[in-house]
Amino acid sequence: MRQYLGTYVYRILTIFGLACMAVPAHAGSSPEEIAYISCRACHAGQGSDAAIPAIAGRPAAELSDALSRIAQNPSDSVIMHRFTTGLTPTELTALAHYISGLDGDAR
Amino acid sequence: MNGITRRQAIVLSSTFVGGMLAAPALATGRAKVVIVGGGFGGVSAARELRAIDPSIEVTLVVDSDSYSTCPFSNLVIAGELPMSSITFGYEGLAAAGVLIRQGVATRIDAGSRVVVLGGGEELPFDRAIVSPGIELKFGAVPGYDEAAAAQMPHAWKAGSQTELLRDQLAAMRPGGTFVMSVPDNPYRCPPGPYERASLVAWYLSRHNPTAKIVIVDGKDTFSKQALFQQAWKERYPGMITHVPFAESGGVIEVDPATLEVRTPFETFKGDVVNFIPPQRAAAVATNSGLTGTGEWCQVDQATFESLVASHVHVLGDAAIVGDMPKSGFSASVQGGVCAHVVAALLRGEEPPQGVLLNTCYSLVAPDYGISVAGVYRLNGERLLKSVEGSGGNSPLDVADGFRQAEADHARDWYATQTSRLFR
Repeated sequence: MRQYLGTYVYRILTIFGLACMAVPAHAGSSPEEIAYISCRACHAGQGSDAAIPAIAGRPAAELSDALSRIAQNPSDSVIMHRFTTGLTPTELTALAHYISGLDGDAR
Repeated sequence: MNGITRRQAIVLSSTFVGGMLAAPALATGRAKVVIVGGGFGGVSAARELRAIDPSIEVTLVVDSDSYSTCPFSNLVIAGELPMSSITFGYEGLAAAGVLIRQGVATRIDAGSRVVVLGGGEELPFDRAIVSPGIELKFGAVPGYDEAAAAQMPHAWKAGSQTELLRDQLAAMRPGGTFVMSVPDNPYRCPPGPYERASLVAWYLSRHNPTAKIVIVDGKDTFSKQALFQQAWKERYPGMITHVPFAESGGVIEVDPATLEVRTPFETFKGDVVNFIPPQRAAAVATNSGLTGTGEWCQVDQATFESLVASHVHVLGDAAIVGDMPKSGFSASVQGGVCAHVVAALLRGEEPPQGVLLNTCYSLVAPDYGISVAGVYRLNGERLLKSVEGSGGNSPLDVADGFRQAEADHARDWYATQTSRLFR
């Protein structure tokens, strides 16, 4: 009986625990997720003839290279240089990896 | 599991339940977030909250069944866009699971955590997000009350006022004068009046080329000034006169019957007068005490939570958010970030942090765009400060095609932003 009860309670706790653990799955928004809210204001478009390129799901190396090139060269972009100079190289790399991991079809 | 006794199990489970109760609203039932304001800030927050956690009940209080954006409304005035192309409904948000409540939020009661609607109905919340925009200070300048706006449109809230100004511009006599009155800072959309002057000039240069524009300014310098003035010289030579505060002493009175704008030194008589009055946070913020003794809402810039009302977050034009300007772009970014903050707080977690960006594009002509950009980061005093060495205006000297590219960027931003928020 004791063992049965223990098992029973354990199961309930497990279910409870899992239910609660499901919460942290979308918890703890990273600094990249927060920064991307701003990126998305312009870059979430899908149009192939758009002036502003879609970036979600692009290869991390491509995004990272573009961001560091733009950060180093004031005349290599229309507006992005003014943003990349506000982030550290480490932040830019982390952001590139985050954006790369996003679903390119989702917005 | 053999090690768990009945007593231990009871202790464990009660600790567990106790922990759950003590912490987040989410664990005690469906958390309720009420968002006040159907513009860029409120809609962005509503969308983001639904995406972060569908278990949160999100109610958006809007005062109309559609929203006309201030961004791109100057193109409507210039006859370049129909009103319908800058007007959006809330059907897309409803489809995304946001509960749309049409009504006027009159008060946010932080003590009993309810938003009070005009009819007296109360909407309870665990957290409120308030993004109600601005109130125009009618009466601040003698002669300019709500009735005067029918003669001298402000067109600073997009809608019928935008159409009225458009129609007055189109009907202006040949060689007439278009007078603009612009307030001192702070006000919604710092470069907006100068974009408007530019696009009115764009219209006049093709339909009424001997007409003039006079800007009577409540300040001496303005956003992107060198860029605007360079463009005016290049595109509309001799058409636009900017009268700084130091020259006129500022507007002290208007007469809607005679279309006169009076300053201590001079009276400006227009054939069309666009009077943009001074502004403060929307009435619901003032009436709820959220502005304290000032005219704008002070918030903890890390969380947007009001400094005077707990569980109430304020953002967008109504709030002072560090160095961020009062723009639709800022409001939408703040709304998105605030949604993450609120979701974390409802779970009993530390709110997240990260950089925020803003861009204000202005169209000098449909093929000529300029911008000011900013990167904002919390400092040690929890203030969102502009990052040194970043951001700033478009360059003054640019290669061919640059201004066109910025105009294309402006249109892309608008299409992407409105599509993501409203469709």
